[in-house]
Amino acid sequence: MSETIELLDVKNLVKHFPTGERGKVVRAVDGVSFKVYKGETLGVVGESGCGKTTTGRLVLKLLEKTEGEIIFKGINLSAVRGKELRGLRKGMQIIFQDPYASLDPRKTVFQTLEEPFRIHYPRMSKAEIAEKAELLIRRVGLRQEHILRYPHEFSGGQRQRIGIARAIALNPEFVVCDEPVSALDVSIQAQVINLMRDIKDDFNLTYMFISHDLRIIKHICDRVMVMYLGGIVELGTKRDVYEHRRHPYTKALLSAIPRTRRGTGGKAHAEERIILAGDIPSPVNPPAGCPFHPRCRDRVERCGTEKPALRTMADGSLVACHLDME
Amino acid sequence: MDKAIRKWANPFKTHGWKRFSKNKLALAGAALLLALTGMAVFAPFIVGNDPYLSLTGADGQIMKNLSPGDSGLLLGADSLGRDIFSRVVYAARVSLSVGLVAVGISAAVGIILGAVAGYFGKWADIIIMRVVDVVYCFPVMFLVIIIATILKPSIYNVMIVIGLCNWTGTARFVRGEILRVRELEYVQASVSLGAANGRVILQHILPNITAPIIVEATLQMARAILTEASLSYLGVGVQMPTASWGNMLMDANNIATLTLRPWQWVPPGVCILLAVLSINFIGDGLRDAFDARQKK
Repeated sequence: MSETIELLDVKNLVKHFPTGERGKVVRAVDGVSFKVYKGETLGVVGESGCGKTTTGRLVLKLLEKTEGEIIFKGINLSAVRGKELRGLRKGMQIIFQDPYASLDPRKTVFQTLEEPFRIHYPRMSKAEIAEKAELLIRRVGLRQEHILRYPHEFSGGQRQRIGIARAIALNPEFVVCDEPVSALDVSIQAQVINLMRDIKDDFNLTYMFISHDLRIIKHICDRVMVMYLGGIVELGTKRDVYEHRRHPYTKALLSAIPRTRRGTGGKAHAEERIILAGDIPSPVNPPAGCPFHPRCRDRVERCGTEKPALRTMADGSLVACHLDME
Repeated sequence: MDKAIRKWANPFKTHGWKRFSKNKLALAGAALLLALTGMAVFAPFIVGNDPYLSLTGADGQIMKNLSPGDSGLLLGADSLGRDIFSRVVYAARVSLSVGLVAVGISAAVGIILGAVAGYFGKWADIIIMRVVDVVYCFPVMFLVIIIATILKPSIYNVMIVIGLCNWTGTARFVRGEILRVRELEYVQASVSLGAANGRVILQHILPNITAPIIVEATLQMARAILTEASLSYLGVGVQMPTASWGNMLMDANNIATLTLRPWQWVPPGVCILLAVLSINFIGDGLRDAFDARQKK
């Protein structure tokens, strides 16, 4: 890895949601530690309900964590609040999954793009803001005349472009992309992904890219974090994760990528499609031991009793499994 | 895709007026309320006689209990010789302004407390909602009578008392709406841009829940008018000589008048009925019109 400046350092992050039943909580995120380096794209993959979206919201402090530490550019986010926190938010933004819910239906594109400047630069004149908004709207591939329209006049892809324009308005360093294309048609997905890639280069962005689509993760990410039931099962460079496939869950996930051409899946072990039995267990009552063991076909006795910690492999990847992985 | 776009469009702008105007009852209600409002605003131009002055005949005697048509009076005169038609028209001012101001007060209190409870949650929510529970389970009429008796009964006190007893429904309702809207992604986006709480609430949350609040307020207004009439009928509301439909009913409350002179109590009664009915119809029409889930 060429870049090694730490932008974000997450330590033992925990988020429990109350269930309404006394003493029972949903362990949405249950002890997650990782770092994001400046300039990289960290992909986060996992099934629905594995806690990837919650993790994204937690690191931006859009949700209040239960435990753990989030350090953004050397500042502990637990310690800041109020005005100071709002100032820090300039540097970290989010692109949402649902382009129909992420724009205020009562505001024109201009009003949506105006807001970040109104918040952080209250002295900026309307003309200056208009100039900046036009620049943004053109940068994301929309036309100037779109600026006075309402969200319902746009298609999903166009709306997502507006969402991207809003996220980059304040020149942030770090952007959480929460499944930014999963609600779009496949033909539109590629356009939006490429736009996000170009913008990343132009604005020197760092992405935390949350997705369940392994092909998109492979296309855009430098490192990949695989999550299962609120925890990390594997974390490594894209190459290491996609080629070595150490953790049995990663193996199963990657074997599920549909292949259009024989052999594009790579190595010999990619031939067989691993079908996972059963559903992801309830995070209210996670299984003892390794959270994946009830569905794991390689499980040994130890998996049912002892939760595996993340181990560092020779190539620097982290894997949480009792099996011998090297 | 088209359907999804429509879901997020402003529901009233797109199909609302069409839906409202197709609702015959709502249109009739709107016309009726417009007529009553016109009656209240232009009262001095409509009536010929002062509603507070006892009419005297040529012999200098007060003309008590005139029948409709006597001396050119449309609805006759009451027991003190005052023109009933004039009083009914002037009473529209009292009823409608009490309804409007009382709803203004209850909406302001309800929206502010509901917004604080819903948005900030935690102890603010617990305290406010417990207060709501307490106020809610008090018999409102009883409370209103007590407060109205302690304060000097006057039209302004009636407005304040009704306003302060009817905010609980609005507060609960606004709290629920805010809990729903605050989790939407466009609100989260605003938070993530660094918007302060006031900005998030005023710019993004409230504008998106105004439609149901307006409906709620309309229905509340009908209730407020009814409460005012009841209070005035019981003698703790609007005081004589100011005319209110409620205290005109009280004035007519004796066996002789009830049986022999229905023109003294039927007109104010019908006016209360029409005002409440028309506002309720409008409220129902608005509710259907704002509801984007309904078809054209």
